[in-house]
Amino acid sequence: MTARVRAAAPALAAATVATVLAGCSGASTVRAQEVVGNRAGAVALLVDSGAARSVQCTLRPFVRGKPRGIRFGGGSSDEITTTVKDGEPADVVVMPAGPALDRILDELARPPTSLTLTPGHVYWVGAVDDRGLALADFLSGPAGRKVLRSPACRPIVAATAGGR
Amino acid sequence: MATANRPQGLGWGAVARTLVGPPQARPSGLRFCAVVYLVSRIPVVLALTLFLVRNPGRNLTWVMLRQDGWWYTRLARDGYTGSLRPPLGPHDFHHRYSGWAFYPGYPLVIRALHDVTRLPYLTSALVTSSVLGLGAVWAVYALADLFGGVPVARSAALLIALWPGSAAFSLPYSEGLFVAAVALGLMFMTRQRWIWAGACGAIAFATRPTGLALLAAMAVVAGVRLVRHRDRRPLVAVAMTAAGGVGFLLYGWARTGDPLVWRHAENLWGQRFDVSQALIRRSLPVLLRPFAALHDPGYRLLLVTTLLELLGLLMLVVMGVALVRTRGWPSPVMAVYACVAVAMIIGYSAVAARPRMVLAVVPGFVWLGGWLPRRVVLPLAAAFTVLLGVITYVWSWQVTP
Repeated sequence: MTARVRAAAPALAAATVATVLAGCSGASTVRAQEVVGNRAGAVALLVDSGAARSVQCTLRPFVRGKPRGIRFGGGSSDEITTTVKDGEPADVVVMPAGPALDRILDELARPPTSLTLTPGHVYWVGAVDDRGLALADFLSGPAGRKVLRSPACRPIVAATAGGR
Repeated sequence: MATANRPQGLGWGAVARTLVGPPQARPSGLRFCAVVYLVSRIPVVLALTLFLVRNPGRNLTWVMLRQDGWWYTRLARDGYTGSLRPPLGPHDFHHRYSGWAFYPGYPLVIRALHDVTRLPYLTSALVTSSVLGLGAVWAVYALADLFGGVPVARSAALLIALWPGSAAFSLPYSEGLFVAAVALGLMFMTRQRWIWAGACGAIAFATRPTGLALLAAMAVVAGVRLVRHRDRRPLVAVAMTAAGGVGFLLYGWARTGDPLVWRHAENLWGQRFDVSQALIRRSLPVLLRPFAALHDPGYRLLLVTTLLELLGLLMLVVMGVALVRTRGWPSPVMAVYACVAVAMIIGYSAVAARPRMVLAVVPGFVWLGGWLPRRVVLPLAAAFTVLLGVITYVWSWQVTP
């Protein structure tokens, strides 16, 4: 019995290490690296790739005259969820409804609000913490909608919607 | 288990006595430690009073329920959450952080005292800290007494009681519990009382992540005794100590579904192992031009924090010199513990070598007590007393000690 245990010990140890490593890995995270406005104390915004270009278009009017800028990053919904769950920088998230959003609902500072790019293309804006509240309000509010419909952004929004 | 070491012809009761050891006489020095500790609280009380007098809009509750104190009392009251971030109102900045970064040892003691006495949580936290602060000083005395006798013990107790980081002994912080558990753990390990050492190790590792240093020290002891004497009994202490920290991680996994929830909470607090790179980046400009922007409150805060971290670093260097001058005296196990603890302190820029973090380097105070002559210890203690008051004041203002 002891000999068997001794023989099995390395395999058991290897399996344990493999399990731990598997647990540590998983989906990659999104890094918000592109900066709009002032870099110091910038709010980290993570956007699902499908809405990235259109949301990005709205940022410059938002940061104009504000002391803090925005650090922007795009990725898949799963990557955004992993980023939030891993405690990596994320103040606001924009993603479609689905299991990825459901997994982070209890991490948000308040329930997410909808953001309609074009009819049929609805995303959800969630403030992860108090630093992201103003940007989330802007994106899902009338001011954000106005920018999305402006001549500067409308073609991008239309192209984005068509691309999905 | 080590039949060679098991008392022949005796039952499990005798084995248990071998592990736990005979009842020890109460360590001496309680009266000395109590006096030193009470004296060391005078600058703390004076500084708090001065702050409250100069800031009439603030009260003691406001001062105490800031920073870590808020988290510890909240954890004692509500426990850990199922999510990484606590469910709070949308405008509450605490939602940026996570309670999972705090180990449960200290909140559990607060909760126990609250349940027994029905004292409010904050009062329970302060009573716990104060009593455990005295316990920590006494435990350091006992540890130093074991190696160097009463003179060394008195010097070590005096230095740790008055070291500016000991302001944390009078705040809702976990340092008192941790230092007491570490000092007793090292003492019992040296006395080869493995169960007691394991119990103290479990408490230390369930109180702060720096308890990992005690686990490393115990593992070294266990390894050496296993190889040299075929003695497996120290493995009990290693297993018990590991259970303290690992138990918390497993609980976090079960509660949140995330096996790395503690690590992810540390991310939210900006705690990353970077060997002090970020600390150097933010401190260097301040040190090169210390008076550059004194009109800016944010800069003043950075300046004070940097100076405190420098003070902590200086203390670590002096402890290192004491270790060399005492030639690793009194025990290599203490050196292993201290080295791992220091590596954990300077490895993370976010908290760095702040004075209260230096408290964790318990053997350093013993080495200092053994190295420094009395004519140096007393003026040093006097200087610490002044700094203790200053640190308590700036903590009340905004700076984490």
